[in-house]
Amino acid sequence: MIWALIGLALGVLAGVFIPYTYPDNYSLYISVAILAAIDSIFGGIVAMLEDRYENRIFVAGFFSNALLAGLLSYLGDRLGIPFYYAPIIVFGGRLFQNFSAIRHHLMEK
Amino acid sequence: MKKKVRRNTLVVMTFFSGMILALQIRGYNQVGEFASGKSIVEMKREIAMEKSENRNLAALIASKKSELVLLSEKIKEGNLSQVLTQELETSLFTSGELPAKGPGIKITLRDSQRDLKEGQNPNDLVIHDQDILNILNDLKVSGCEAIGINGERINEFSDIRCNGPTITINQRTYGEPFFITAIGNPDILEGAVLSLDSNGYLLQSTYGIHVEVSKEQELQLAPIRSLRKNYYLKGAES
Repeated sequence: MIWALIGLALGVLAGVFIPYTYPDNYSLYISVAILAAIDSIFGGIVAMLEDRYENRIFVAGFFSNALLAGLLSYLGDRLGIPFYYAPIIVFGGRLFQNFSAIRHHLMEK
Repeated sequence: MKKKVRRNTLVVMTFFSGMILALQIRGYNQVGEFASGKSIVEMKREIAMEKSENRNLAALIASKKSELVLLSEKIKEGNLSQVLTQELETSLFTSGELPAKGPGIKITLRDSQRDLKEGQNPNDLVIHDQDILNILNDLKVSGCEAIGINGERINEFSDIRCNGPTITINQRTYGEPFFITAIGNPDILEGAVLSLDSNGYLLQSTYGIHVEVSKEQELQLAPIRSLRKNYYLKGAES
C-alpha cells in the first residue's frame, strides 16, 4: 500500500513536469483509461492481500483494461452513442468493491 | 524475490497512472475553454485582420523612412521651412485655393443655332450640365492641370448642375455662353475637345452646338470662391 502511494506520488510529479501534452480531443478517452488503470491497481492490491496475485495477469490487465476502455469511448464517439458509460459503470463499481475488500482485509487483521 | 518483483510492478503501474492523471489534469486546465465554431471563425478573421494591419504598418514605416531620407536630403541642400512652404504653395494652388496661370486652351460653348427639324426635341440643341461634365472628363483624361468655367475655379468637389436653361457651378448660376479655361498642353487639350471621338466633336457634329477652341500661351485662373470646410473628414494614419 505504501509503495503504491509512493509510486502514485512519483507519477504525479513526473506528469506535472513532463514537457509533453496530448491533444485536447483525447481528453475523454484518457479519463476513462485512467479509471480503468486505477481499478486495475486496486484489483492488484486486493489480489496481493488475498495471496492470489499473478504478476503477468496484473500487468496485462492494467494495460488491456485501460486500452479497451479508451477504445470503447472512442468507438462511442464515432457512433454517436456514449459507450464510455460502460467502463465508467463497470470499473467505477468494481473500484468500490475492491476498495471495500481492501478495507475488510486491513481491518480484520 | 517474488515479493520484490510484485512491489516493483505495483510501483511502476501506479507511477504510470499517476503520470497520466497529472497530464490529464494539466491538459484539462490549460484548454478548459469552450470554443464554438463561430468564435473560431471570428478569431481567424481577427487574426487575418491583424496580420494585414501589420503589413500595412510595415509599408507605412517603409514609406515614412523614405520620406525621412528625402527630407534629410532637402535639409542638407538648404532651408527646411523653405522647402515646406514651397510644398504647401504647390498643394494650395493645385487644390484651387490660390490663383494660377499657365498655357492652355479656352473653349467657348454656345447653344445650337440650327432650326428645329421635324420631331426633334428642343432640348437636343441646348447645352446641358452633362455635356460640360463630359468635356471636363475629356480634358482631365488629357492631362489638364486646372480648369475654370466662366471664372469659377473647378476642383474635384465642384458641383455642375442643370438648372433649367442655366447651369449652376459651385452653387452660382450661369447662362450660355460658357467659357471653359483649361491649363495644360494646348495641343493635346485641343485634341481632347475637337478630335473625332471626343464629346466636344459629338456635340458639334450631331447637335450643332457651337464649340470654339483657342490656344493661349497664358491663361489666368481665379481661386475657388468658397473654401471647403471638412465636418466629417479627419486625418488618418494611412
